[in-house]
Amino acid sequence: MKLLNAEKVDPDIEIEEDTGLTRTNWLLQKVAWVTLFVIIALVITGLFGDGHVSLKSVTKQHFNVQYDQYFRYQSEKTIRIISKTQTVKTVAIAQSLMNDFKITQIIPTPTRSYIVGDSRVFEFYGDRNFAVAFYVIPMEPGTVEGVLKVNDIAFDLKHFIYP
Amino acid sequence: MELVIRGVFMYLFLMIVVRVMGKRTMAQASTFDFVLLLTISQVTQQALVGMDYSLTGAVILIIVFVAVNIVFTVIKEKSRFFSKLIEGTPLILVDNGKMLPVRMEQSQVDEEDIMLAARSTQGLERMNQIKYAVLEKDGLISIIPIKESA
Repeated sequence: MKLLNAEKVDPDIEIEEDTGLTRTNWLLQKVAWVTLFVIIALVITGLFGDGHVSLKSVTKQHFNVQYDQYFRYQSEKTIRIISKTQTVKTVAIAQSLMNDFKITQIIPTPTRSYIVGDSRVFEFYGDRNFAVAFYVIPMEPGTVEGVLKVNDIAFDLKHFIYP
Repeated sequence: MELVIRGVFMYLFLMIVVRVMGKRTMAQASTFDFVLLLTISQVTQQALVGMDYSLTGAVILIIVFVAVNIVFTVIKEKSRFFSKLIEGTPLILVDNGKMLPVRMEQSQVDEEDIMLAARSTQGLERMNQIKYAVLEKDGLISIIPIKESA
């Protein structure tokens, strides 16, 4: 291996060469370069959010909930509720989720919002709400779990928020 | 508390990044490298302060950076090994006019870099006029010319 075959020198100047340590540094540098590309590959897959691995889609009855499993601290994401046939009347979000997320926008705007038990309920007006989007900003790093109910149909959400 | 953790983490991370880039790369910085460094500093700033635009937050972060730097300086003074680990050691690249290809390749230095240093610092014209070319800890190349007998 080239790294181990660094030329030997016997200099007649006062110099503090440490070829052993230098070789180790070269080796670690190569390892670090490989690590950089591995990290980039993982980022592309979505392990740090915004990708195939991160995106989760759960369908129950007529409703489909799409969300990212991996969030990044203070980086805005969307939780989408989609239905082809049934209108979304209420969305209840567990307080455990509400505590760690800041909701910046809800489309369409709910007509009212109130607390029931350990959930915050958002009520929507009309009979053609086939898509609801919650724009949220995670405010605490770590694992966040909670239940999101669409018209009383429960979806278990689990996120990991990178610091 | 969070600001302190962020500050310390980013200090250590940037230290690793600088080591991974290689000391020669830092010393050779081109115009684009400066743009890259500015981008890195901008991204770092955002990661550090986030949505905290307060004067207190900025003061805390500066204090954390300076304090960590002092700690590292003290440790480097106390421990020779730690100092060498963090800053590296000088490395001879040319020995009595003969280039040392493995050392040069691994340090990302080519013949032109050495001749550039030889011309600009010593006014030398040929490789065989160089006794030693040393890649210093700061990434600069020192040239020691062969003393010509009168």
